[in-house]
Amino acid sequence: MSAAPSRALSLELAQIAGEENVREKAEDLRHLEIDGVTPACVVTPQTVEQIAAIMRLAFNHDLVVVPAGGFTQQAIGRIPSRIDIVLRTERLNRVEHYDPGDLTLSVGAGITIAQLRRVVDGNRQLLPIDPARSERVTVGGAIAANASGALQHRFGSIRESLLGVRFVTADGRIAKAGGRVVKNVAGYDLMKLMTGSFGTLGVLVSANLKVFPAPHQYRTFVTEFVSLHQAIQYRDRILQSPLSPLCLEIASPEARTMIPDGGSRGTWGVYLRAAGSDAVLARYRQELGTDVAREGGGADEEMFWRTIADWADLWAQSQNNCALLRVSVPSSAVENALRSAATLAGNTGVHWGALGRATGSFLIAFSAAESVERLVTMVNAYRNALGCDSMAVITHCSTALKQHIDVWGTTPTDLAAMRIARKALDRKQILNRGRFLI
Amino acid sequence: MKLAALAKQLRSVLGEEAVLHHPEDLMLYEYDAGLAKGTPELVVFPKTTEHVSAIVRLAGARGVPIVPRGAGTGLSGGSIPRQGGIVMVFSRMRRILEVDVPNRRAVVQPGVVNLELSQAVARYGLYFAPDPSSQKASTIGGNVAENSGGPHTLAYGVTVNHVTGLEVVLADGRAVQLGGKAGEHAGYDLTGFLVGTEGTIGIVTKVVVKLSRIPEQIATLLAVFQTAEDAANTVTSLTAEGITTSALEMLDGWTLRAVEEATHAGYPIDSGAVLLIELEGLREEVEEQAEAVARICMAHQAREVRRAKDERERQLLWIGRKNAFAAIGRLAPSYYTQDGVVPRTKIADILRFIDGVAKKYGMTICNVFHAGDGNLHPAILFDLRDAEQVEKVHAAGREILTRCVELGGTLTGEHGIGMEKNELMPVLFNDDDLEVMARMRSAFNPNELLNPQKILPAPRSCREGVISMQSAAGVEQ
Repeated sequence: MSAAPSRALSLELAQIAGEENVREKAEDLRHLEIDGVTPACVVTPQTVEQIAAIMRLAFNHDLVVVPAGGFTQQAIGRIPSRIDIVLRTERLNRVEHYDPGDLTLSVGAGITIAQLRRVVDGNRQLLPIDPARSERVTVGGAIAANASGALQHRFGSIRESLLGVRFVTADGRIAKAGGRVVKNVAGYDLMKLMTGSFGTLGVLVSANLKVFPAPHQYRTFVTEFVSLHQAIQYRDRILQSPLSPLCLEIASPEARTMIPDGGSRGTWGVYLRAAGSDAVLARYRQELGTDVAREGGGADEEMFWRTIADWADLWAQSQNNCALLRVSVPSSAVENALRSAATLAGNTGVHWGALGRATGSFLIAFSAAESVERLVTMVNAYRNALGCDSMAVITHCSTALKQHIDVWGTTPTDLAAMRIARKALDRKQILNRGRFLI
Repeated sequence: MKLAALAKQLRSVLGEEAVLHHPEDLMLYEYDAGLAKGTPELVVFPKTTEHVSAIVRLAGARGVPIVPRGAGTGLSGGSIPRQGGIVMVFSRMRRILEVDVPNRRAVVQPGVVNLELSQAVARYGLYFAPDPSSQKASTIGGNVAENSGGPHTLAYGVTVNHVTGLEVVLADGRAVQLGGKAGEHAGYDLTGFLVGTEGTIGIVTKVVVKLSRIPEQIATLLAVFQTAEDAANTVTSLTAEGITTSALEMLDGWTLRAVEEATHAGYPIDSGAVLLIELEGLREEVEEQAEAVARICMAHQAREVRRAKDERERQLLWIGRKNAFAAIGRLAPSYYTQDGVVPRTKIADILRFIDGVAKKYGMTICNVFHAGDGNLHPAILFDLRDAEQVEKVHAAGREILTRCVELGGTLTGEHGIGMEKNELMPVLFNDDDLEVMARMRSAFNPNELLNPQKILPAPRSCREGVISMQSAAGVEQ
């Protein structure tokens, strides 16, 4: 399925962004296909003003625009009916401002997380955002998808680090909210609104972020348990202790087979990452006691956490017909959420694994070779088990599965209120039309 | 009474005693803790979400504006009615509905007092982190509306970082749920968006807050400096060297003399400035950082660095800080506090600038502020009865805030825009920025009956008119 390329549209886009930055040939568009829908063209503008001009053109002609950074999160969302323009932000990749003394920076939305990490590493600072595929995922993409990783345990999700945003509205206005300073309540907090909006409220063009001083050393403590219940008890003991680790992850037995943690088969893992002086780390050892199976630091430890970040991708690459779900439940519901997955997967004959924050936000993978029906049954049953106040969004699955199941699931947030916000900023719904949950 | 018919309807819903209309009763609701003033025509006291919905529907049908109000401790006029109408007070909605210890959440009604929530959960080793100086009186609903901060927001963030769900009554009277107890939810983060909208998007009737764990160890240090410049440079060094203080407050000489006289907190009255520094966390971390703090302070010519020996001394130092504005109040008939923010590398610059402004206008400006996040609170002393001084205060305030923005900062760190600074918004935001914000307001609040004329400047065509009207009243800000 492909939209008919309009010669007139390409010409207008070429006038705005330069002929060399507009592509409309099938071979240039194949890798940008979303759920079998090929875009009519892709444009890679170089400036914010060009983006604004493109959006005005799209708005006036009712063209459906898909904003895209590293194209790492585009599997998320319902099946689009039509894509006229894929708008790449990858050229907006400059560090616009960096004040290491103030622990703040401003960057173009197209810079990748890995590039940004290298910039702050150079100043012995820490970027508190560690999503999967950091070499490809852009800051804009991470914000739009509210992507996070293990550091979320200490620093919260991206919403807590985002000090300001600049974006282009559906009708081509360039607007900003927030600012560069760490404390700011002037005006509406559109940063929160943009975070997790999947490009449906505007095209992000730059972001101001908080960074933190980098710790001098890290240690990771791996603990394994024969039962989920024991793992959760250990987690609770840590949460009630005075310790405040950087990361606290839980991994199911199947997920652990892909993590180089030297663990025994069939056991649950809890990974705790701590930072601090020798005295602080000694205190961790004392508090964690004899439960710890292994302890590691240095370059291996760094690699270990990269593997954890990319775990779900490794799963998806190695398993046919799988669905990845991003789940968020309150801390006390984690045990049930994981137990339900095990029970239901056993009943339906689905292979499963889970890894993520031990306190409630994790990824869960289900695979059922060649059987879409079994996956549909599994996901539906699993969502029912979680209840409607929880989040269970499918972040990766086949287009065939999307035809049978809503990728978004339920939300406690009022849908009509969401529609009001959408209508206010994109009344024609030209941004990612048909893909979001409202 | 203009709204007699509405008052009658409201009484039938809320009860006789829950609707005030006598001028002497209304007068109590004309003020907040700032200098703004505006008289409501009716004051109502809902007890339930259904009451709030009914009030919004009845008022909406008659085109009467509604301004929600917590304890009235705001500093930017967020709870002051600008067009008469209804002030909705939450003093009958002050129940803690649920404390969920395993999930570290509490579900509260908007009228719950900030400190009372922390006290209620202290037995579980938990507390509510946002700690505005007004926390003994200010309500969670008010904190949500203004996105309040406090000294410890340096480490723990402002109110929005501690709210995961809300129940809100929208302009059409419908009560809706946004978010919940889980950390993340599918769809837009309308919870995060709503915090800090000062009642211009909807009226909050229930709040799901995060509770934080009381740390194992707290160290409170007082560093004494000859000059404010040395203290400011110390702040920059502490930030740059990666010392994560949980609070980092600065009091200049004017302030600490006033504070000492009022509270005998033990501040040295002959110094140029002090830093009140707090460290929290694991015992080992706190001890290491306390040593590093002392070293950095001494490297910036601190005269001495003192550490509170016990909880009593610690509380005394904090009482001095939290009552600083009350103490400043003894120095002059009135004072006007601002809330601008600068990057932490620019604190010395802005203090010099403020000093220059004080000299230029011949006024005294006391500085007591959240230095760790660059959030200034210059208090300009003046006499409200002297029209010339009032004018000077406004001019000086505007110069300081404009300079904050020029240095890369902002107009307000925690007090909100309200009606005090909405006409200054164009200093920070251009027409397109404001237009996008206005679209959000119009979408949720189409007839502008929910807290009208707050946050956003009046439309260009009538902005001039609004300013001259304010000046005539002479009591704004």
